[in-house]
Amino acid sequence: MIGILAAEGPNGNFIPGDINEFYWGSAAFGIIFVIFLWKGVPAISNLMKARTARIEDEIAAAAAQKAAAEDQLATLSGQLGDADAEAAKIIADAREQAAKLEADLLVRAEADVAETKERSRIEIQAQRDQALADLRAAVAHQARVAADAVVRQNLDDAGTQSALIDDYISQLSA
Amino acid sequence: MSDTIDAYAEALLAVVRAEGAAGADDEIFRFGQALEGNDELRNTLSDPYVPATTRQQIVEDLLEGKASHVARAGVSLVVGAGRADDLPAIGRALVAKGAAAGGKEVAEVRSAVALTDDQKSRLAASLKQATGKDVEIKVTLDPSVLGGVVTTIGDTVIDGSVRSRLAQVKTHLG
Repeated sequence: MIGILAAEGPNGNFIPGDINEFYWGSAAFGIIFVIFLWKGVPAISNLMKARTARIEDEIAAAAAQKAAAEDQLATLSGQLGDADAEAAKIIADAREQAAKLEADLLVRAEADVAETKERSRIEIQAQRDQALADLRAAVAHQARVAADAVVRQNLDDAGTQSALIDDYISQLSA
Repeated sequence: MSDTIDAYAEALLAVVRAEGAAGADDEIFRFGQALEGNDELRNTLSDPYVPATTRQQIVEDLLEGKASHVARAGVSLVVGAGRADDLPAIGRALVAKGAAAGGKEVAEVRSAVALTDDQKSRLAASLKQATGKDVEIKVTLDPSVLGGVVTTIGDTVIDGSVRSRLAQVKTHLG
C-alpha cells in the first residue's frame, strides 16, 4: 500500500490512475485482512498462548526441579553431615583402640622382658650350681683316687697286712 | 643248695673218707675257689666242645704234684661229667659237710695274704666267741680284699677288709 502510495503515477499524483485497481486491491486487502483477523489472529493468539503456557509449564517444571534439587541438596547435606560425624566417630574409636593396643603391647613387652630376665637368672644359677657340683665331684674323685693310691701303697708292706689281720681278730674277740 | 651239687659233695666226701685222704676235701675246695676266680680256665673246663678227656688231662696237669690223687680224681670226675661250673659250689658243700660231721661249721676266710697258723687258731677262737659255733677255717687268697679279712659263715659275712673301708670312704666323699 505504501508502495502503491509512494509510487508516483503518470499524472504526477501518488494514487494510481486506474482507481478500480485501487478499489479492487483495497477490497482484496480488506478481505484478506479480515480473514487474517478472523483466522490468523486467533491462531496466532492461540499459538502465543500455547507458547506462553508451554513456557510457563517449563518454568514451573524448572521451579519444581529446582525445589526438588534443593530438597535433595538439603538431604545430601544432612547425610554428609552425618557421614562426617560418623567418620569422626570411627576415627575417634580407632584412636582409642590404638591407644589401648599400644598400652597392652607395652604391658606385654614389659612382662616378656621380666620373664626373660628371670629365665636367664634361673639358667645362670643352674649353670653355677652344675659347675659347683661338677667341681665337687671332680675333687671327690681325686680324693678317692688319692686315698686309694695311698692305701694300696701302704698295704705293700707285709707287716701292715699282718697287723690288719691281727686287728680284725682282736675286734672279733672284743 | 641244689640236689646235684649236694649229691656230688656227698659222693666226694664218701670217697675222701674211704680213702682216708685227709685234706683232699680242702684241696678240692681250693681248686674250686681258684676256678671261680679264673674265667679262662673255667670256660675251658666247662666247654662242651672240648672233649672230656682233654678237660680231665688239663686238670691232671694243673694238679700234678700239688694235690693228692684223691683230690685230682675227684676234680677230674666233676670236670669230666661236665660240671666244672658247679665245682666251686661242690667244694664249699664238701667242706661244709666235712666240718658238720665233726660238729663244726666252715668259716670261709678271704685274705690278701696267707694267714699264719697262729692267726688261724686265734681267728677260729674269736669266731667261736663271736658266733658261738665251732668253726673250721678255710683260707682263700683274694688280692681284691687289699688288706684285712672277710669271713663268711653260712649266710653271715663279717667284712673287715680294707676294700670295704675304702668303699665307705668313697661313698662318704660322694
